[in-house]
Amino acid sequence: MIVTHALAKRYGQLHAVDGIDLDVREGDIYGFLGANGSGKTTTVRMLLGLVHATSGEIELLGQPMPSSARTVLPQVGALIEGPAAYGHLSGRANLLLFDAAGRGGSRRTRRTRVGDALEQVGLAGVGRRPVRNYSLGMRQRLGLAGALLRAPRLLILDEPTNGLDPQGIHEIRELLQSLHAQGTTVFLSSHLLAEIEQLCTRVGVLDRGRLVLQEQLADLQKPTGRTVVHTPDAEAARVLIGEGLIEVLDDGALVIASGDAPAVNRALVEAGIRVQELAPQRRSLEQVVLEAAGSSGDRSVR
Amino acid sequence: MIAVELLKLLRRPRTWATILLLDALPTLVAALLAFTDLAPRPGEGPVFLSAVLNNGSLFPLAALAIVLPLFLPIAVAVVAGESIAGEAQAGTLRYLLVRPVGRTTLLVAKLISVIVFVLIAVVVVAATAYVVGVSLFGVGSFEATTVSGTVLTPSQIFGRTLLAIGYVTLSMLGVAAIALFLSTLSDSPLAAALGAMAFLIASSLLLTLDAANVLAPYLPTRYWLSFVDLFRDPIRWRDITRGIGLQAVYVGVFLTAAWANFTSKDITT
Amino acid sequence: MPLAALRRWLIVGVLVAVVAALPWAVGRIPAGSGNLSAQDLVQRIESSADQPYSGYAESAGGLILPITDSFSEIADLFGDRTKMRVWYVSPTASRVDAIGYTGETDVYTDAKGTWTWDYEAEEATRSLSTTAAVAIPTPADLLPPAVARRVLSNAAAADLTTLPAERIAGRSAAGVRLTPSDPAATVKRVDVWADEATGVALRVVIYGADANSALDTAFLDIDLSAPDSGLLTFAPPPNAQVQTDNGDLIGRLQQRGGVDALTLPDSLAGFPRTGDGGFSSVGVYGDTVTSFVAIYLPNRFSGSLRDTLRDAPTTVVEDVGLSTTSGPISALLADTGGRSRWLLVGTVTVETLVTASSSLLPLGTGR
Repeated sequence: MIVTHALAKRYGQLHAVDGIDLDVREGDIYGFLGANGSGKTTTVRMLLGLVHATSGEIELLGQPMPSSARTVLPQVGALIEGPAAYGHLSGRANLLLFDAAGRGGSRRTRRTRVGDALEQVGLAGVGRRPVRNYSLGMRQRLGLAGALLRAPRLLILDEPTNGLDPQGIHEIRELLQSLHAQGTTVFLSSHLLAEIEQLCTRVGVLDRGRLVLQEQLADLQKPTGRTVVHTPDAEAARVLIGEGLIEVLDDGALVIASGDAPAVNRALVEAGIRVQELAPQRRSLEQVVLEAAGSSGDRSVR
Repeated sequence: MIAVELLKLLRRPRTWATILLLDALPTLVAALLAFTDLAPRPGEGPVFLSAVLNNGSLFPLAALAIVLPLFLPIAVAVVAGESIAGEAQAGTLRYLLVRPVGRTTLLVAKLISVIVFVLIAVVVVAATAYVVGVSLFGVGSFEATTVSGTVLTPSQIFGRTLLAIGYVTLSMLGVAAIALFLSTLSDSPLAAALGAMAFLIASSLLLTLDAANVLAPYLPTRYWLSFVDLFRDPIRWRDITRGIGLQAVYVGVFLTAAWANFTSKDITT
Repeated sequence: MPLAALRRWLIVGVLVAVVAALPWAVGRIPAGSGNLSAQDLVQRIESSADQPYSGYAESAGGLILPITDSFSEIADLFGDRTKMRVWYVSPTASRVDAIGYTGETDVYTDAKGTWTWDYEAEEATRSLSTTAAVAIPTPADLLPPAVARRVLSNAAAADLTTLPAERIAGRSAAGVRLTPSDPAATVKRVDVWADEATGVALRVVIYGADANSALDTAFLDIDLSAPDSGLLTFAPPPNAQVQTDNGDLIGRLQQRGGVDALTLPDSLAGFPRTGDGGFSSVGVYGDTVTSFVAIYLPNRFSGSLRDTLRDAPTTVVEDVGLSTTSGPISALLADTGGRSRWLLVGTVTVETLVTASSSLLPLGTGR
């Protein structure tokens, strides 16, 4: 759905995006992770033809961008760096104008389409109130409704849950999951690890303009071949484990060099050691990202 | 897309507020004239104002002459300066472009909506002025004297007023194109409008300088007042056709520049 | 800058270049090769009085004339740019509109005289014709055909040379230059271009001693077919003030002072008397571009003229009175406090005027 080759954007001496090879497949919920200033937004804008790439190639839905924008973009819904609307008009009027602006989308079904989109994001009941009086969360929902108007095959969303309350975030997550279930591919850019961890099937990590990691989330989070044990009898356990003990975590948990949790459990219990908690070790996304990225992108780049 | 832009234009409260303001000045002038009866001598003050006391149906022309030098171009500069930069500032530009709306299409639609704005503004000003003029001053013998001293019938007055409305509208195209170009350069509507106005003020200033005579035929404000020539007998077309040609050149050059800049630009707002 | 952007801006650049070059290219359209000799052309110009035409002309004068307020229109005429629309059939059927931004002054000439319509004053004035050679100049006198005929009348063949043809008002125009050989002349040269076929002068430029033109008058548009005669008649509109005036300048002067029987000499400073402007107290001396007029001044009028002249920065005090020059025009107010005062104005040197005044001052009655 999205493929880039050595995509780069330079502003003078600054390499905002430095040769990245994105690969988003059909059916993915792709999490595009990166700190503020890492080049996420520039990348998203290049994908949509708003910013011209300095070099490299972009393919959206199998067609080159931005040359095929006219045929590709009608099948793409986007939310870029926060929503925007005409403040003096109602949400519905905004969507009607927005829908009429682009090509395609029959005039007869326009009202139905707009109504459905508002329904989907939970704005059906706001009436004629001008957008100027909307809360940040409502604007965000309106922006999403705009992205959903044409039942897109691909959704490109930049920080879609920004400004929403936990309830709202939950609703949006469910909405995206249901869209995904219906076959929509979602490209989600965010700096929130938790959001991506909960929602995404595939993750790309951007650090200072470079794509430092791109993998299935499940692969990143598969067991590491070690077992973590919490026990009140730590001393006895250490003695028992001996060479197999790799490290002791801050909370007193022991990391054991064996992925076979049931075997570890049995050995401990048979030695009379009480086991409070025992599980195969998995890395959190945070750890993965920190390892890959090294340090924060907020630090100035050269 | 053009329909969408027109709809946006017509539904914006600011559009109507601007037209209302444009209308206020000639109406005030008419009221003052009617109650003080102090008409300027012919040749003094705005064109045709002196003739209005005899025939209220000439007031639309006087009203155009009143708004033409300053009010109307300012309104055009503001509206055209807003066109792209306003969308950029509100953030709606990026959504329009990924809809997708072609950048060239958007520019043309914006220019057309500005032209429609001018036309509406000029027609509203003229229509209000007609009502105000006729009710305050009457129409006398229904006839009017041209600048050349011949007599115009009411239908000739009407026809030539329509021509004047058309000419004034076309005269604003140059400003509109300049402001539109600046609007693609800057993300601030205010900066674009001010830039266009600075251009106009410079143009008006240079016109008064003999040393700038070489430049005069190229200045966008050069032929603005030539709508007076429609009220000579026979109509003097020379400056009118030149005025239209000059505006066409300005539109051609600045719209192309706007296109070159806008289509090459990174949209980062 | 990326290549695509460069290409787009290149298109803008080409467009600007084309638009800017267009007027230049139009000016490059070659003019015909004038095979006419200078004398033939002058003859054609002089005999073109009955060739009808209509068009638009502009004249720019570089003269600053110290003239009293009552004649300020004349100062504007020679010091400013005058824009004229003209419809011409014959010397007794024409219309000239002097156009301003907010009005116009139109002069209709018919067999009996002129109608003058002044929009800004809402005033129509009927003047009955005089045959005066000396009269207040009007915009019509600044049209190239009028200026050309006046300047080239009786020009000596030796003073004429041919100029290369030029395109003026879209027509191919043959050129002739008049270089007065008389040492008293202040006009150093006059360039005239006229339509080859009809002899209608399209442009006249008069130079004084300095490089700037003293007068440059030219057609910007011209149509050599006969204009619609309906355009040449004038009826005062309702509401307009209508008045009658027989007043050319000299007539006004002479009426104020009362005309005394005066006999002016047949020649002054070597110039023969060529006209009297219809008044015995007025003499025109010389012809073509080297000439002057001598006018007897009544007492009242000379006082105000003397005051105006005295305040003008270019004024020089001579033994016989006050003199001033502006471009090729010299003026002398001869007034020794004796019996008569004379105003001498012309395109000759001040010295010539001073010489002429010495024969005039003993004349007159003085009041």
